[in-house]
Amino acid sequence: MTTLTQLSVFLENKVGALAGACEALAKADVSLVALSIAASSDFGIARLITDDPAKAQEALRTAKFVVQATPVVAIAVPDVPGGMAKVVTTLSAKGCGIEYSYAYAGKDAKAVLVFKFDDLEKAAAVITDSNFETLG
Amino acid sequence: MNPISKPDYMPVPELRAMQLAKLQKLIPYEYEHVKLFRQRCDEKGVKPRDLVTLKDLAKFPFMKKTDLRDEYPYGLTAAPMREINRFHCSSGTTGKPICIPQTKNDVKIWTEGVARCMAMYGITEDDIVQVSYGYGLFTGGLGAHYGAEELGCAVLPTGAGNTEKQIMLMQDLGVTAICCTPSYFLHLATVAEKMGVDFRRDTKLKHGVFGAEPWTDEIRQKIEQISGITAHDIYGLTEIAGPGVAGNCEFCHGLHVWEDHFYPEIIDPDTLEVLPDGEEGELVFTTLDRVGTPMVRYRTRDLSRLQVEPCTCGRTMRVMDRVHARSDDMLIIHGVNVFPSQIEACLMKVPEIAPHYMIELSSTDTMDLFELKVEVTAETFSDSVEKMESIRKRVAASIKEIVGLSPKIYLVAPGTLPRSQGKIKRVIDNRKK
Repeated sequence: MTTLTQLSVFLENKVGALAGACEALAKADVSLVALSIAASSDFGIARLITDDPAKAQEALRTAKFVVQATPVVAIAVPDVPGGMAKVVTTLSAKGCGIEYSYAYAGKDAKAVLVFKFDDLEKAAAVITDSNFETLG
Repeated sequence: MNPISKPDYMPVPELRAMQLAKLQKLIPYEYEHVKLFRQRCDEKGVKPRDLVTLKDLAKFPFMKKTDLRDEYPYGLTAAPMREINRFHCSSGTTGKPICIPQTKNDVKIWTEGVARCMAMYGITEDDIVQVSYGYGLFTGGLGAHYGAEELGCAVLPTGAGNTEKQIMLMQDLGVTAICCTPSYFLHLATVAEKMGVDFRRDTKLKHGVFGAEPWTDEIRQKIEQISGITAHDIYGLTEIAGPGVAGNCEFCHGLHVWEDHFYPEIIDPDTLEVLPDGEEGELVFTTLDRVGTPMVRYRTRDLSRLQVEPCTCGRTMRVMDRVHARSDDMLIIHGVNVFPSQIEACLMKVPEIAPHYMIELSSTDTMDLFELKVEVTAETFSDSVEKMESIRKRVAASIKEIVGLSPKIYLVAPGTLPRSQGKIKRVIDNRKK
């Protein structure tokens, strides 16, 4: 199984916070693959999958953003009803906790599900056993 | 013991006799040369000869910062210009600054105050002292500079700012003591960390001489813990001298006031009555030796207490409590009295946030809005909203418990709140008056 490096960026609750992060990435010529934003009432955490995490991290830090790198698992599933259900059901049945998840449309009629597990090692074992296709 | 420290241990009866003798010289001099003082004495019906014992000082009128503003620039100057040797000014937030012309001997006494503080901290002629207070009209830079030179130290006059270069020089030259505001030192520490500089491993820094803004014990502990240095407290104000009016000894219960030069009183800021030692109130100083711009019963607005117990260190000079608040720093929010230092103490209880904050007050037609911005740190930033929310909740709980208010708390990115190089501004009050 492979993992992806997701970057989490702290965003203050103010106009232009997200724009600043995007601009920093654009300047560094980094492309966004997927984005999810978790927000509370007064701050946000942008979770990014990019084509070059190392370069993205450096660009964001230079632009004074607080960045954390987190290993996540991206699983490709057929883009049909029940595609996600199969993966989540299998993992839940084996007791793997999902902290959060988001999805994006992949290539070849596939959807990509991004998972942050509470226990990555345990989830990895289940994913390998179930022959799910992971991206990395 | 350094000979300069000898007066620190003067027997108390001798000290009181000396203070009375100096006051009996000062009051007639001030009465003769400063019109405002003379007018106020006359209004009160008090004459210089009424000063028979130290207690009689209470009969004389106070001076306030507004007097210095109103009489700007020379109204309170007692000496002729040919004797004036130096000006220092303190900026006001509005209008004219205050201006303190001093004679050569005035500067010398101030210098002695700083040098005695440094000697008390254990700084010697073997030390290399970096002065990172601002130089110029502000008394911090030149005060620390003169004091350290008087003691025979090697002085590195970096002034404030250009922090990375300061850290480089500190390492390269083997600086052992630094003088700056506590908030600037915290800023310096943040920059050092980014540069990969560890104070313990990469520098010879042992002493920090911190003053010019109120700070808490929690900040002192934080500074000592992150840098391994000993944080010393130096107190003073431009109106009286500059830094070096008082400083802490090795027992750190408060600050010894150099009362052979600066006579302290504590008053009730409402009734203006003198309070006995041991009670908290507003600190009032009389300059016993100053000739250029003497101050009689100058109200500092600093809240403190003169301790009753003699200090274990053997110095006879009375100990004042560390100034943790100024009576004019006090904010009234929703009818509750709040000191910024209380907010600071609350924040220090939550290790995940940086010790930088900004209080922002605004108002609607009917109520005050109290907002507090605090910085998260790069180390503790978590990908989980839940964990970040828990930091915010702990800050809120701590403030609710100590201050009794529930501000709206905003977490902001590290490095976004202003750092001070002189005196820091921690409150923005946009409320309609």
